[in-house]
Amino acid sequence: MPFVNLESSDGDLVKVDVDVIKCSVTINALIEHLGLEDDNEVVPLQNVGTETLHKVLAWAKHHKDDLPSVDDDEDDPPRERRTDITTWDANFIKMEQIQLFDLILAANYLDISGLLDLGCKIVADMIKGKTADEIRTMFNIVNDLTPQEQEQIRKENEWCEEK
Amino acid sequence: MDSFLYFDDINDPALNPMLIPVVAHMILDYLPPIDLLSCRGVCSLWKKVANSLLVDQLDQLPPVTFKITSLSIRNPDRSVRSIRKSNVPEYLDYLDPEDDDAIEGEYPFQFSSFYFNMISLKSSSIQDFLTVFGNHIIKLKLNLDSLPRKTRSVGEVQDCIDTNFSDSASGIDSEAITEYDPQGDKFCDSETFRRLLLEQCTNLQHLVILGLPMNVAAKGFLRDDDFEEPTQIESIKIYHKSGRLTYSSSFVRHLALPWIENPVFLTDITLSFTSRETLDLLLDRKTELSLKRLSLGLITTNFALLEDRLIEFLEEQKDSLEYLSFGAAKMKKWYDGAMCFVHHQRGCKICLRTGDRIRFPDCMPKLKVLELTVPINRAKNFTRIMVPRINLREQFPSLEALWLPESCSNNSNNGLTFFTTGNEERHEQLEWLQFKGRINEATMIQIGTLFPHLKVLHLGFQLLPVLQKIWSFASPCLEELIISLGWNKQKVFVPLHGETPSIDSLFTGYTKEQLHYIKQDGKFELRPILPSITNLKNLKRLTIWNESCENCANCAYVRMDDFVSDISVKFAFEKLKKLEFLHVDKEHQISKVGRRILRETMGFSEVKLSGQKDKMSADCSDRIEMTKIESFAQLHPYYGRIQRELRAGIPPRYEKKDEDFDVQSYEEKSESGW
Repeated sequence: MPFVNLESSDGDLVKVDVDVIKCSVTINALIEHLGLEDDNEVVPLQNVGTETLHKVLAWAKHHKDDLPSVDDDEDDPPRERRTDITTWDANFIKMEQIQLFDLILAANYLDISGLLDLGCKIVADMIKGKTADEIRTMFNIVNDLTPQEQEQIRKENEWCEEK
Repeated sequence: MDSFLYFDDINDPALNPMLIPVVAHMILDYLPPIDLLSCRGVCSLWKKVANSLLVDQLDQLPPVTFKITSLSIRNPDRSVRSIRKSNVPEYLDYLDPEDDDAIEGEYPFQFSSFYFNMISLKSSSIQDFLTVFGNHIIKLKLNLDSLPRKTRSVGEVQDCIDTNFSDSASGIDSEAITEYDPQGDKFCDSETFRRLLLEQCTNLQHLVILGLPMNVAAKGFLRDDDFEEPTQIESIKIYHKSGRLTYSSSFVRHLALPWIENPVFLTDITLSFTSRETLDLLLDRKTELSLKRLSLGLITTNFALLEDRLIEFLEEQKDSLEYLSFGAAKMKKWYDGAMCFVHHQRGCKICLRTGDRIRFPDCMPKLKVLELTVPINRAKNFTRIMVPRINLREQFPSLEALWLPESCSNNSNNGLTFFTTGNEERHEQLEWLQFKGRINEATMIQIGTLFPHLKVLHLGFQLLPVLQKIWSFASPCLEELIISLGWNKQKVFVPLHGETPSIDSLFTGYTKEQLHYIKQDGKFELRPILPSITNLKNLKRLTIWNESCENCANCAYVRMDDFVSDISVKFAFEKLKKLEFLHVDKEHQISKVGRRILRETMGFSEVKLSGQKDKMSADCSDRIEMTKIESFAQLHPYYGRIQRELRAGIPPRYEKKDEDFDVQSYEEKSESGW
């Protein structure tokens, strides 16, 4: 069974079954195009810490037999994406917000759509019902809108706010 | 949720995944429109993403129904974004409550909440909706409160006043009345809606109406004999949230007050355009209410008929009332409309007429704000109300803000003397005085002595010699000054200090000769002979408006060509060490050099307000603000505080059951009071 060695940003080496990590478009492309067939070849992942990498691999291992997502009906993508989360995923994603963000960053970097999707669903749930201020505080985002823009947004939102 | 602060550069997408466009898009794509609206205000990236998603979603929704995202449905798998005419059939199929798959006891629409714009749809999807789902609805909440605001011309205002009058003359026929339609379509009238409720909503247990449909008679919407089995309905509540009742539309002739349960919670009533019926309803419940804030706008009735009852009402409320306003201070538009109405000479339909009187109880111990914005003491055929002379200190010992309206006439320009007894002691509490009327120098001195702790003084169009008196006599505490400069036109006014000063002379205190000398020689060691604005050591905010009123045109005018020169800036404003806000009207712009001095030596930044229509003044003109203040909210910290205090005192949302509420005593009260 072919393996690939991944090096986390902390410098730790993790040996992974290629079958497991194929869900990552980034690594898959590396393997295919660069021919990392050699077992001693190391793929450095500068943006992924060891802890996060293990999380990612745990997820990938569980989902390795999942059918690849089908992008056939691109002409008319369904407006409502599936919002259900399996029990395993729900347990898996129970973590601190810092870890969740690292996981999303890693999923984005490694281009693992399923995991990224899962993270985004969780974050979207956290956002629901919150005001812009609350969201900024929660996610530590700096407001770079000008006062004029904010006023404009406030005016536009006014008519649909619940009285 | 804990916020985390571990990022070094928090808006760096490499560290914060929320700022990666792809990730932001994926997250926001999971959100319903109502949350996307909030997300637009987070940062520029999110705004962009949310906008694109909203555009996608809005394509599928007609704008008018967009608000119905909050239609509350208990079954989360069947969340519905909107119901509109075109897709009602879809939903009727999709959400068939008879469907076996439906979770038992959790029918969709069991708890339904409708907004006004849903009801106002053409051909009324709500009719179809109630026809199919009506029998499943247990609790129905209708929000008819937020009627769309539409700019109305004077003609329309007049029409609606006429309508009100003709209606009240002929009695109310609820069969014939349809609701106002913002879209210009005919739709579900109140009677149809009433029938729908009765015929379709057979299992209804709670009916909540926020605000009344317009022109629906107070007792005509639901009647005593409407429900054959009255036990079905446990409660009908019609009320406004948060203990506040606000109507700004003249169309609302009937106040929801008769149906408000437990009015003891209601502390804030604002009626911007008040009819006789509405006022009747309010005055009738004087013993049940305990208001903190009462604001009555223009009253479309013969006020004299209500005079005695109004004073009785105020007597009942005097121990709780903190804010009292007569006139339409916040609604310049309506105010204008009504004033135009007077000009049309259409008889006596205007609110308060010559000779009408507003009396106040002997003592209102808690009153903090008193606003009178209908003209008092005006001459000739203009509307005025009579306010008997009052002793501010005895009658309103806690008063912190007093607004008095225009009171000017050609030669009688002393509204304060007219208003007060004139021989009273100093009022230590008053911090805010707004006085739009023309006053003379004696009155200015009187203001200074009567109110030693005044922080905000807002004067209307005043002649320059009068303004000069402010520097000498105003309270040393003064922090904000709003003035309008006027020049004497007719020789009816003899200033005590010789000729009218120039603007430079007004602010700096230098005489004409001294100014001449300064301009010639450029030497600046002179001491001003006249009092100057620098006497106001604590002045933080100065606004120079052009607030002339039509009547002033006879006796005074605004000189358009006078600039606030660099001399004023250098020898007056620069010495006001605490000054942080300077707003100057188009007519009296600050010279370029003056602006540079303000920027360079005082740290002001310049804000151009071009073409903005301001609430205070109807003209559109370029204005310049020199300011150190970052947000506009800092402008009126004092008034903001009063507003906040009043709001803070308002009890929690009405829906929450008050355990301590004594139902029995309330019922006794309501039997006798209703």
